[in-house]
Amino acid sequence: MKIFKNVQFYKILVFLFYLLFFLFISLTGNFKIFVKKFYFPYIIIGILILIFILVVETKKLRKFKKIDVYDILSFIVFLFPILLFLIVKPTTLPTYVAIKRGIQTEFSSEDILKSLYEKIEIEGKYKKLTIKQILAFSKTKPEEINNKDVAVEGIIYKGEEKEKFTLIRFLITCCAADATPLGIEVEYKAETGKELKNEEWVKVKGKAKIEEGKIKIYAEEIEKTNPPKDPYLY
Amino acid sequence: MEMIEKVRENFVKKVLRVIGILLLFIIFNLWYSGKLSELYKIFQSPKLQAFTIVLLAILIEGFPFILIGSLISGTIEVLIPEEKFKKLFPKNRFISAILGSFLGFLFPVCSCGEIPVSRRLIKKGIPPSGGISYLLATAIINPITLFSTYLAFSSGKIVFGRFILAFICSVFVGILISPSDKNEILKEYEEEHEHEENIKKFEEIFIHSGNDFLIMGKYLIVGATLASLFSTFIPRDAFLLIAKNKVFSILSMQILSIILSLCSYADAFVASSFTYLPSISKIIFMISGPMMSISLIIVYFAAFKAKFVKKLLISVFLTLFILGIIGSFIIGG
Repeated sequence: MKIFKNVQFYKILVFLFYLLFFLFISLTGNFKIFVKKFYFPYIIIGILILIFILVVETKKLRKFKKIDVYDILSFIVFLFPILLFLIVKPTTLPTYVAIKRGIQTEFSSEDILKSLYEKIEIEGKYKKLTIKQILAFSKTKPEEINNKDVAVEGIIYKGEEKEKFTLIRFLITCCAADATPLGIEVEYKAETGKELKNEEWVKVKGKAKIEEGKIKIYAEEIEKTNPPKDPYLY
Repeated sequence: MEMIEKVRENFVKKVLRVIGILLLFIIFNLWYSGKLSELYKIFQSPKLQAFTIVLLAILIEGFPFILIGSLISGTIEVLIPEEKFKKLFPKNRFISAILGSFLGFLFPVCSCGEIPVSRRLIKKGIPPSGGISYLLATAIINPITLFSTYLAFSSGKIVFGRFILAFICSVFVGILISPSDKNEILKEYEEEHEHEENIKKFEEIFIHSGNDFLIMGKYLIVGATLASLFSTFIPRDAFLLIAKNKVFSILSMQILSIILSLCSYADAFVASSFTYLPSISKIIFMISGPMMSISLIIVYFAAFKAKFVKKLLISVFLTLFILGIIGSFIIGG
């Protein structure tokens, strides 16, 4: 088949694959696994440019230029990330990354104040907070969080110690490459967390206490949950 | 020459064939021994998940900017005549470098997008010093990056330090390494010489954009792969431990910024988390990354001649190191 020897055919495939990839992550909202919502308009602009390029390049298909080995190599390079996406089916950053980057148990940034005044929901007797909010409270307004009942979601990282784990959420500024792991120590009774495993998403309900300057949660209930629509904190 | 090229091509063909056969053999062997599910376990391993997410994050962030940059570059190529462009830009290499470093306010593209634009600007005849300083400064000297730096540090001093050192470095390197002949910098693309007949200007813009995307894109993938390998497997603490000494702290932050390949809009937030480092090291970290991160270095080799890229990288690295040392004496670390 002559078309399979035409370099233009492979160029079109590259544009088509990337167009479909960007369309897929935009329509499914999967782009949030990788980048902040801020980038969504840029992805849409990228999709529009790709559509125009694809139309113009398709018109050139009748021109024949024989593919050489370097064109094949380029094609393989372009295919690599797409294949990885299809095979690995990424979900969210694992706790492995948190260990490599170092878990931050103190949070200090200029948006602390903003994070303190975000709307706080109440669930029964518990205040629903994010790890970022809890760390921000404990740093700037400890009286607002010490001895208070809180409900917080995150991923489990179990270390060596029994009946303890670190609850982790990743804070991102632009994309997963800059994700900073935020963590809170959780202490639980053996019967509360019998089957807890690493990497599981859970909601911890319990009392927050500041001990030796660090915040800790004494869990009363731990329930397994699905990963939230937005896996990261911003 | 043609003979050598043919031999090289045949060698690469053979290597590709051997790799393909090996892969098929491994997959068949796993299937035959009923261990194909082992492959699934490898694909689900946290390390591969982390590597894939970081790689795709860099690409999803970078590709739209490469496309936008390629579109701007294609538009400059097709719609703005060379003579007009030369008139717009001063011939003096010093003024041109200063002007180039502020062009980020006009074309505020991210680190990946500035490469096709600066290449096209130089090709269109602006003095190379202007193109080089634009290439180095744009990702830093633009409103979004400076504002995000302020948000991360809430310190006007850090924002000013980042701005002024980036400006000095880009202008100095721009003047230092710019040749009088643009052909000493620009890599020739075969595609640029393929002229299409009977096509509209609108189509021509997108043909140029598509070519730029294909050339820069594959290098961005290679660079992002290296960056995500380093980012996934090398702990950041390894760099922060050796950063306690003033000189080592500047050097190690320069190397860390090259490895991490962070976006210039985000690096300030990562830098602000290095609480026990001197301010000057954090500033150098935020300048070095947008100028010479590993993913950018690989794309530089796609756009410019290798000799020029080597000169550019050495000059930027040394200039930033010296500025860091001087800065640490002025502001006391």
